[in-house]
Amino acid sequence: MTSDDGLFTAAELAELLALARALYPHEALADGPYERTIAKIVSRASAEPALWHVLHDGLAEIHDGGSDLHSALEARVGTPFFESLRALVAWHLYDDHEVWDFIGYPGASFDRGGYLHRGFDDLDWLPEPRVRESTEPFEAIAISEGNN
Amino acid sequence: MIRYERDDADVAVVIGSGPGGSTLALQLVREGFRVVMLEAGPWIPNEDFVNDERIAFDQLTWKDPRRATGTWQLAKDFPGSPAWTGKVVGGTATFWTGLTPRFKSHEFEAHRSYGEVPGSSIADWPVTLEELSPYYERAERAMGTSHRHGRPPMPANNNYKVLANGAQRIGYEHFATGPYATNVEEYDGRPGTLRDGFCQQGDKSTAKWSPLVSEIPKAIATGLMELRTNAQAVQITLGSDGRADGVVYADENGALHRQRAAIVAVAGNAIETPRLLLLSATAGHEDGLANSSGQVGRNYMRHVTGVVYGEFENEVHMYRGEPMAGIVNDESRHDPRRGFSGGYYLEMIAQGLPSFTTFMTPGGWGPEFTSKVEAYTRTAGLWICGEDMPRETNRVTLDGSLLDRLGLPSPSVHYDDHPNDVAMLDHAYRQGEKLFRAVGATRVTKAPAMPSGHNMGTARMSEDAAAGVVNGFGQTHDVPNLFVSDGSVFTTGAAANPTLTIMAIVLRQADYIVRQARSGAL
Ligand SMILES: Cc1cc2nc3c(=O)[nH]c(=O)nc-3n(C[C@H](O)[C@H](O)[C@H](O)COP(=O)(O)OP(=O)(O)OC[C@H]3O[C@@H](n4cnc5c(N)ncnc54)[C@H](O)[C@@H]3O)c2cc1C
Repeated sequence: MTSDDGLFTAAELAELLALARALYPHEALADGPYERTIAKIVSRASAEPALWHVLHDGLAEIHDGGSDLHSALEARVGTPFFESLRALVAWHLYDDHEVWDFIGYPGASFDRGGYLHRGFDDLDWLPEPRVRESTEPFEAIAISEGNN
Repeated sequence: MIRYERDDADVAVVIGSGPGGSTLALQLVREGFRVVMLEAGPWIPNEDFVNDERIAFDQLTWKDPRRATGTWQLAKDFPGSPAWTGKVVGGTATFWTGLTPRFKSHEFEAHRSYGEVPGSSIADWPVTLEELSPYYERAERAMGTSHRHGRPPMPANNNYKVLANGAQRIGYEHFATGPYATNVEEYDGRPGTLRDGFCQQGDKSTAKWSPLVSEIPKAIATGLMELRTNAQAVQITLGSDGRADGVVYADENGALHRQRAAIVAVAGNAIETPRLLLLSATAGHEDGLANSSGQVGRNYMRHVTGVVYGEFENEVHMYRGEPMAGIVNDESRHDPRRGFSGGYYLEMIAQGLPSFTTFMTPGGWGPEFTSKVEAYTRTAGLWICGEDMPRETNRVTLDGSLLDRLGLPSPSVHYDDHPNDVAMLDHAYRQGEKLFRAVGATRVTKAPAMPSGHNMGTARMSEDAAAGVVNGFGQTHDVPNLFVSDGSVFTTGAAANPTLTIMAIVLRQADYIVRQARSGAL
């Protein structure tokens, strides 16, 4: 499907999706978050001529390469195309709550009473450490063998 | 809330509502002074804070343009964000974490203790630990910091268990969950923490101390302080007698107003404070107000810093509980055998997924990066905080090619790492890695600095008017009724997080202002 405003062809949209996956490959993650990420980037590009230009030119050029996407991206590190696309994909992908679920990051906890009774200290593979300050003296200036 | 007239000429104007400005304002109104506080940001009540890293950043942060230049990594990673500071009532402390170690005695005498450090402007403070100690105690009580004056220690969360066990296994002794300025149990009318994390997004529960939940409402309740929000000071004006006589500020719509003043105190944090002094250049102060020494904006410091993440086979869930309630002091000593002067702390740090992916490897991508992201719940973090060397050439200047919404030049922050900073950071990264490996880390990632939360030095204290901007009480050498009331006055940075020391210095300054005013010297 072409984007509604005709700014990106269906092939370009598919290419952007593949690039997003190549930039941030989470094999077991469904397509949904990547699709939403690209949708956000495309929508921004349709309001920002400079971004559209950079993406459009970059897509045209990356097609000609023929190598695998990871190497193609690697060869373009530092270009405006790579830098804009990478930053935007990272920004939106890791803000997607399906990705949070996938990684196991629950987000805000306040409404659920924080972690007071929900495991803020449930780590049990290490001994319980001291929480108070040590009563041993602290040597603030080392007795130096040097010339200070 | 009381309202003052713009031509009430007997008020003290305090610029900035963070820990520095609020601490001063509360002391002054308690002593019967009339105070107008100008804060560039809005009042956002705790219940309106949003526990989402990006939304909160947008809501609370100073986002006006700034530029970073120099050899520091930030100039490459985040060239538009040298610092992370607040623009909101309560200042940066609405989203600070809360560690409150004191500076050490020898750190106030850095020059004497370390000797010459070539390429630095290291100097001794005109204040000693002994003089500050009673004020440190008052500041600790004001915040209700844990581990102090009968306040209980913070219990260990998961991230702390990793940090403390690692510390112990590599032979460290001086680790604890604080002092940390968040209530473990009820104190000062505020509840104990729910261990909900997210204090770097504004603490909804008010368990964490900030001026927003303490000094500001207390000062307003005296009936002597008016707080004007969305009021950004753009110039401090001088009378023909050479004294500050008012402050011009822009409101929400950019319209200018002028408040008359008997005393002016600037507490905009160490980037905006020198900027305002430089913007206030006028006849007789051509290089900026109170800048006869040429030191305004110079000696900018931000601590030697970086992050170390350890990845484990088992779960950690670092985001649960207080993000920074853990500190290791062993390396905070001065021990030149390590190959550098001064010391550093290893402090616990936790980030949510969006921040973790932004800062863990700035610009990172590809399969190695995503494998680290997938290990997020099995990752622990520590933050390095050490003394950086002041340098005259590390400085805040006005950049006329980058204008803010008012058309004023933006601050440009130039910072070149000193070899001492580089050696210290290298040591700290190695110790951080050792610490996590000692408790079984399978992979360790060293991350560079985030935009600076600690900003210091740009209006340095010195008894000698030719060598500094303010005296030991934060009073400018050039304009007797103009004060600086934030970390800009630090002569050197010490290793510890700065806020407790800012408050102690300002409490001492308040006593001085009251004495001077009563004796007619002000
Ligand atoms: C994420 C994070 C965590 C931190 N954790 C710790 C910690 O654990 N321990 C510690 O000691 N420190 C910590 N800090 C640092 C701490 O927040 C600062 O040291 C402290 O807030 C400085 O207080 P201040 O009053 O000098 O400045 P700020 O708190 O920055 O307040 C300055 C205020 O002045 C206002 N302002 C600036 N210019 C103008 C102007 N021209 N007109 C009107 N208003 C103006 C700003 O809007 C702001 O609200 C942390 C910082 C960050 C970012």
